[in-house]
Parts: sequence; C-alpha cells; structure tokens
Amino acid sequence: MTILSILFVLFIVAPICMLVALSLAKKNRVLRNHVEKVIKTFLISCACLAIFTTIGIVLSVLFESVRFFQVVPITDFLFGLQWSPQMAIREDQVGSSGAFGAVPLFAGTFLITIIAMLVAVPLGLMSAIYLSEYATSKIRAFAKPTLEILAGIPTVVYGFFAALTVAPLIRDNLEAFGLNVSSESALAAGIVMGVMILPFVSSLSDDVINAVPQSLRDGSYGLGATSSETVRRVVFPAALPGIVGSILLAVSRAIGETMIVVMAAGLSANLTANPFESVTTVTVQIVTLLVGDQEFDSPKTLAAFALGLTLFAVTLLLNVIALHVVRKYKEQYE
Amino acid sequence: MNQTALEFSKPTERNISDDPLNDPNYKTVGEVTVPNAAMTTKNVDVHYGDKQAIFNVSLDVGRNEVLAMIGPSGCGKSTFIRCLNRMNDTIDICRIKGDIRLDGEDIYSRNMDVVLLRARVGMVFQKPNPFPKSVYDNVAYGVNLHGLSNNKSELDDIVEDALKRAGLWDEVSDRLNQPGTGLSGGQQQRLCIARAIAISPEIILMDEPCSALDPIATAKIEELIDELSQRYSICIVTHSMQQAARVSQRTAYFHLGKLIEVGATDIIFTNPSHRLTEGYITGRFG
Amino acid sequence: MNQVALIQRGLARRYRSEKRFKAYGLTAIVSGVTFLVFLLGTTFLNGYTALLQTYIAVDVTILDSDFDGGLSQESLSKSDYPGIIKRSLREAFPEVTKRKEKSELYRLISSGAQYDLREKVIDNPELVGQTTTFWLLADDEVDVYMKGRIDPAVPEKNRRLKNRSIAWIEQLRDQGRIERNFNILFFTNGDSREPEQAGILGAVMGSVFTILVTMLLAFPIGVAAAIYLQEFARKNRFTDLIEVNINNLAAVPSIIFGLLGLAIFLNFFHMPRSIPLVGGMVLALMTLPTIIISSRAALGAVPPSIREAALGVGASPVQTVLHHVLPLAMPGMLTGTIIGLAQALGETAPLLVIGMVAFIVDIPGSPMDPGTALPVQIYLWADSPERAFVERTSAAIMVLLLFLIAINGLIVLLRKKFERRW
Repeated sequence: MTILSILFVLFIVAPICMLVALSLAKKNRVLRNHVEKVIKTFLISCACLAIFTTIGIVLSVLFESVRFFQVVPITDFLFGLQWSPQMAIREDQVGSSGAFGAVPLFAGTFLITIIAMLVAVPLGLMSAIYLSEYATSKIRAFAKPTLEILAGIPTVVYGFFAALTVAPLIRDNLEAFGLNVSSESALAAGIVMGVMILPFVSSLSDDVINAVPQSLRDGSYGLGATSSETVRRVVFPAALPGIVGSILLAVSRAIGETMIVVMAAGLSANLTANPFESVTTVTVQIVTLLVGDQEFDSPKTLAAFALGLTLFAVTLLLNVIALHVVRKYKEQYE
Repeated sequence: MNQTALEFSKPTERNISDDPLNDPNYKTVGEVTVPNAAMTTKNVDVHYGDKQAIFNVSLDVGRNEVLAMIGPSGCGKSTFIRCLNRMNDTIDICRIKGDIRLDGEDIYSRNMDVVLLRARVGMVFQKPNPFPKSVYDNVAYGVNLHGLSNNKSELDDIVEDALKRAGLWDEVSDRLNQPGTGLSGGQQQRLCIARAIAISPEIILMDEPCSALDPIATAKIEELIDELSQRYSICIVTHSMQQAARVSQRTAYFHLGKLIEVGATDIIFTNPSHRLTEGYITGRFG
Repeated sequence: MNQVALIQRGLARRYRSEKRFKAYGLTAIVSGVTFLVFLLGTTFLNGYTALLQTYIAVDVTILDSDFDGGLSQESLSKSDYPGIIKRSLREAFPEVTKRKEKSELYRLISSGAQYDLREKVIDNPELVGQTTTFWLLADDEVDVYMKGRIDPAVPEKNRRLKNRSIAWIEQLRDQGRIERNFNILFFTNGDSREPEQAGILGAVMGSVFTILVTMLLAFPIGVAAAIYLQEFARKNRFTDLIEVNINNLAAVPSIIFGLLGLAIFLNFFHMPRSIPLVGGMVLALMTLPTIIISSRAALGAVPPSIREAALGVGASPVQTVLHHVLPLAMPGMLTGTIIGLAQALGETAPLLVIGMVAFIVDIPGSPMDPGTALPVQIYLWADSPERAFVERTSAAIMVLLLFLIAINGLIVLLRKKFERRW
C-alpha cells in the first residue's frame, strides 16, 4: 500500500498542488517564478523517465546476462546447437548444467518471422497500393477501419485462434496430401502472425506511398501509363526506401511477438527449416523459463535475461535502422 | 459624346456583352476555330463536385502553332488544358461535358483509349517532375511503356534524339546514368520535355512550364518551345503575358472559367477587343 | 508501322496486366477482411454457448441426522453436503449399486454444487428433515454433452463421458430434470479448476485495477513529458536523445518491459509477485511512448497564434501552456491515452513474466491483492485441457473484445465531439 500511496502523491497530488499554487501566486511575480520553476522541473523529470526506462531495461537485462555468462560461456550461448535448459534437482546429478545453445531458438524465430513476412508483406503492400491508388472512397471507408480492427485485436486472441483453429486446419488439409505436420507447426504460428502484422505493414506503406508526390504520378499518367504501370515503375521505386523501412519495423515486431508463438508454436528446440515441424522461439523460451517460481540465481532464470538481451539488441538495431531510413525518405519529399 | 457615336467609333464591340461573367450565353470574342485544327473543343463545361470551373468554352488548337492561354489565377486555364489529354480523369469529383476531338475523334468517347490519347497528347507540368530514375531511364520510360523500340540501340537512338531536340544532350550526354533529380531546375524541365517528345506526340500541352524556373532557364525553355513548334502543336498555359507574347501565335484569354477572347497574339496584346482582356493586359488586375 | 498502330498492338496485353494487378490488390484486402470475419466468427460460434449452463434437478432429502450438533449455525455449515448430494443421487438412481458406477454417477454433479446447497440450508434451516427439489450445477462434461459438443458416435474409450453417463443424462432429460439456464456464475466467479465454476470476474477486476494504475501513472507523466518536449525544450543534444529514445521505446517488444519489471520491481525492490500494481506500473512504462508521441502531436496541432496571443497579453510561458494550449490539446491527448490504454488492456506477455499468471480463485479487491488480467486468463484457460474451457476461453475473448470495442467507440465519440480544424 505504501508504494501505491507514494505513486499517487507523486503523480496525481503533486501536479494538482502545482496548478493550485500557480493560480494562487498570480499576483506575486517572485513567487510565481518559483512555482513555475518547480513545474518545469516536474516536466523535465517526466521527460527523463523515458531515458531512465531505457537505462533500466539495458541495466536489468545486462546485469543478469553477465551473471549468466559467468556460468555459461557467451560463445556456447550464441553458437551452441543444443538447447535444453532443464536443470537437475541435485547439484551432483549428471548433466546438471543443462545446455544453453541458443542457435535453435534463433533459427526458430527466424523461420516463423520469414513465414509471417511472406504473408504480411505481399498482402499488406498490395492492400496499401489498392487502397491508395484504386479503391473508391466507399471501399476505402470500409476497408481501412476493418484492417485497423485486425491491428487492435490482442495478440492472445490470435494465439488462441492459431492454436485452436488454424493449426488443426492446416494439419488436416496438408495431411490429406500425405504430409506429416506437427500439431504445433511453425506454419500455423507464422501465418497467424503474418495476419497480425498485415495491418501494420499496410498502414506504414500507406503513409509511405502517400508521401510520393502526386506530380510524379501525373508525369507517368501524362505519358500514357496505366495505373499499374505507374505504381510498379514510378510509385513503388520512389517509395522503396520507405517501404523497406516499414518492413524492417514489421520484422522487429514479428521477432518480439510473444503470445502467438507461446500458444501456437512448440517448446521443442528443433533446429529445422521445415515449416511443418514444431520450432520454438526466443520469446517462447523467455516466457517458459520465467513462468513458475524461480530462484534468481539459477542459470535457467538468468538464461531468460540473456535471451532478452539478444532480443532487445536485435530489435533495437532494426528499429534504429528502420526509423533512420524512413526519416531520410520522408525528408526527400518534403 | 452620345451612345451611338461610341458604337460607331468602335464597331467590333457591338456584340460584346458587358457582363460576360453573369451572362450564361456569353460568346467568346474572336475566331475560336481554325482551319485543319489538330484538336477542336466545343461547349466544354467542367464541374468539380458542385462547383463549375469551366463555362461553355470552345477553342481549337491549330497545327504547328503555339497557342497560349492566359488569365488571372483561378480562371480555369489549367483545368481546361488538363481536359485535352483527360488528365482530369484522375480526379474523382471532376465531371466534363462537351465535345473535344483529336483529329476528328471524340476523346471522351468509349472508343478512345486514354493510354493512346495521352501518348498522342503529351504533357509538361508546372513543377519539373523527373522520376527518381536515371536521366536515360526518364526519357526511355514512355518508349518502354508503349513498346516503341525493338532493341537497345533503337532505344538509345530515340533517347539521344529526344534529348537533342530538347536541347539537353550536350549538358547530360556524359551523365545519362545519373539520377534525373540531380539536374538543375531548368534542366529537369527540359528533361521532362524530352521525356514527352520521346514518344513523338502530336500535341504537347504545357501547364505553366516556367513558373518554377529562373529567368535564364525560362529563356532556354522559350527558345525550345519555338523550335518544337516546327514539328508539334503546342498549347501552353502561362501566367506571364510577356511569355505568351514571345512564344505564341495565338492567345486565348480566360476569366473566371470563361473564354473571354481569342485571337492572334499581336492583336490581343496591342488591340484587345474586350474590356476584361484590356484590363488584364494593361495590368489593372491579374 | 506508325506510332499509333505500334501502341495499339501492346494495349490488350497492358490492360490484362492492369486487371491482374488490380485483382491482386483486391485479393489482398478481401483476404484480410475474410480472416477477420473468420476469426470473429469462430470465436463467437465457440463462445456463445458459455452464456448457458446446465443444471440438474435432484430431490435432496436432508435428514436431522446429517447434523451432529443440532441446528446451530456452526453445525449447519460443517455438515457433509457432498455426502447428502451423493445419497440423494443414489436414491434417484436405485439401480446403481456397483462402486465404480456410483462414483461415475456422482460425477454428473459439479463439486461446486455442495456450496450452493450449504448456503441454501444455512439460509433456510427449516429445509432440514424435508425432501426438496434443488437445481444443482451439472459437471462440465454433462454441460458439454448437453450443448451437443460430444459426439456419442466416437468410440467410448476416446471420450471422458461414458455411455452409462449419457444414458443417465438422457433419462434425466426425459424426466425434465435437466435444463440450461443463463450462466451467471461465469460473470460472478473467479477462476476455478472446474470449468463449470470458472468465471471471469476475478480477471476483469484484475484488469480494471491494472489499467487504473497504468492510467494514473502514464497519463500525467506522458502529458508532462510531452509538454516539456513540445513547448519548453530547446533543440539540443539532450532533447534529441530523449526523442530518439522515446521513438525506439515505442518499438521495443512488450516482453522486454516484463523483464524490466521482473528485474527492477520484483527482484530489486522486492515488490510482491502477481499483483495488479506491478502489472500496472510495467504497462505504464510500456504505454508511455505512445501517449507522449500522440500528446506531442496534439500540442503541435494547436496553432502558434494562440501562444503568441497569450504571451502578447503578458502571460508567462508556463501560464500560456497550462491555461491556453493545454485545454485545446486535451481531447487529442485523451484520445492518445485511451489508445495506449486499449493496447495495455490487451497486453499479455509482460504480465506473464512478472507472475500475474498464478491460479487465483479470489476476486482481487485492490491493486495490492494477487490477481490476474483478462488476457492472461484467456491464456490460462486456452492451456487447460478440458473441452468446456474452449467455450469459456472464447467467451472471455468476446468480453475482452467488447471492452476494446467500447473503448474505441469512446475514442470515436471524443474525436467527433472535439474535432477542431484550424
């Protein structure tokens, strides 16, 4: 309760007090300047919270990761092909150290991300092109909010849908062709994740495509190009840097997505490129390692933070590149 | 001086409505038709949604002539020129009525293919709009679209010829593979002209082609227009009266969506018939 | 060949490819929409049956001998109610004598029925010594069977509900002793291992407390940060750093925020696990970037003339912002905040990491009580093997989506009401 009341005072009562003080100090300029200084300090510290959050993230994952790498060498983690984090109950048991080679997780994450992008990029891009270049205002007024609904559905819902409906559907249909499909196939998780990311890709590409000046389209139409020729030969190349940036953002989102894979992809760390098999991902392992009571000094718990560090570093890199590319692209047409 | 004396002294003004803007049956002063016209327009009305932008305009474009359209901003000259190659089709709310013919074919009929129309009626826009491609690819764009060359060397020839005719070859022959957007404003606009003439149109529409350019670049483009008029019919919208006087043989004056007066350029600028034209020419408004 | 003929030769092919391209675009949109319809459709079809629950009428005879200590309050509450129900069932089906069969018979009635019975007896002690017909909560398997989701054609060994039970159910149905009522328990109970007793109230309350904490933290901080960055910050390295930071934080995977909460709040500050307070704090950090970005946009949309006018009549910069700019930007800021909160409401992964996945039966009464959240409840039920949890999971999803629809409706309303064009 104490934490709650501290927070309450800090962020609810304090601002109100400041506002009241400001109105009371209307007449007295010296007092008013003091109150305004306090208010500004409050504003600055709130803005700095963003930095503290980042520092907090970096420190917390880094600190625990370093402890993990003291037990498991970093090379074993990054290049090891065996992932079985089960720890023995007694210290003296054989194989008590477990295996923490994360390559199967990276491969699984990569496989599912690829499948998701194969669904999301063509569909998202074509939807964006259709909406911005072809659709009548009526279709646009219907289709745009519909795609936005897709973006607003919580990922746990997608996860349930993938596990309960899509995975059996895929298995039954493909088994009819004599294929052996795992009930927790990478394919089901990937496809559903692709649909989840579709509106993300389409709205980002829509922004990017709309930033291409109308004058370029006019130039192309004026030479007798059809709409599709204009899109493919002028609009798309012109928008390409921005589109690449949006796809990178989408990839980063797919890599960091948790619930769909937790519910629809498996736990077995298979090193495979076969989309019909079950694979596991970085985020799935973070959740599995941390759910349930854990000692904070067991390598199993710390491994989750090492995975978190990898995830954070990769997505951050992707985001920085993507945001940079998109910003440069938009400046070009301003 | 009484009324009759005035009418006698200026007999051409007798039929001119004093208030063309409120007269729905206003008839343009001067001869709107020309013999053997490249393009004819009759009774063209244009609406944007509920708003009418062009009122009953008839105007012919003669062969190998430069026709200038002048008028204060918002007078509908750009809207009108965009009707001539159906560029207004790209605007959803735009409706066009009337009869526009290219070599006797109705361009708004079902049989007219808009792709073909735009290949025959080229257009150069207000702001230079080279594609974000190389200089070469910019010029080759239309040629490739329409499949006008059979092989690379034919294409090279077409591109070179177009650039030469646009007076740009000497400046860019050594950097054909660099982006067209890297050229100067005047060069970009000439690149856009080269892009248009590479597919050998019959008519070239120019919508204020020099408004974004400096005087030296403008002079070059005007020179170019003069040369091009040997082979093409050119229709140019401009807000600069001097430019119209320098490059065109015929001038049409638009005012608030109506074609007020049309005639030989030297006459329009020296002895306009309508008081609105005169007012614009003498700088009373515009 | 002349120009026109050359172009015309290629036209048919070009128009075909135009049509194809357009068809691709339409296909993309249609597949997106189809998927949405499919998702919502299956969820609804799976979930609407959870609104009904099966009850079985049993003539329960309560004997004086069931109560050792007379009819005192204590003795009434301590009696062996499961035993009473079992006895009544034996009386209803006298032909059942074998031990195995009997235990199968007992399983028709939910283990939760005894609490209901006990409450009724405590309220009406005069029931003792009488035979009364009670509608008792049926077991989930019976419920699933009554909803037609168990196919009797499936070989007996592949289903949990055996032929004998099905015969009993049919017998009860013929006697009019089985019926389906509105499933009020689903909306008033907390979680349970038994599907027929499981409800979403605990999860809903957990979500309410979590979002409340998130809102109380994220809204003031987000607005304050936005005001500073948009109105007061000079353009320099430091503010650039904050900006880049915020943009990147907005794209950090949500599970990373869970790790942050686990390491800082739980491990370092030793806050308790599984409480909505910590969940709310983590989600507040997660939604802050969204709120800051949209609040800045709202502030930026207020035209500079307003600021100039206020400064011109002698207001200080702080007064200008607080008295003139902020009220005009408030609707936009609120919209941004609500969007962020909607995100937080559907978020699951960080809550799993900070331990809000515990199995909690009690309904939390404050942000400090252990609790779970609606999306986490969906995750937990989705993991449960019982067939009856499928419909409950789907129903919980419907409830979650209804909340989100309501929130989005609120956003639309806000925008309509306060939309202003400068």
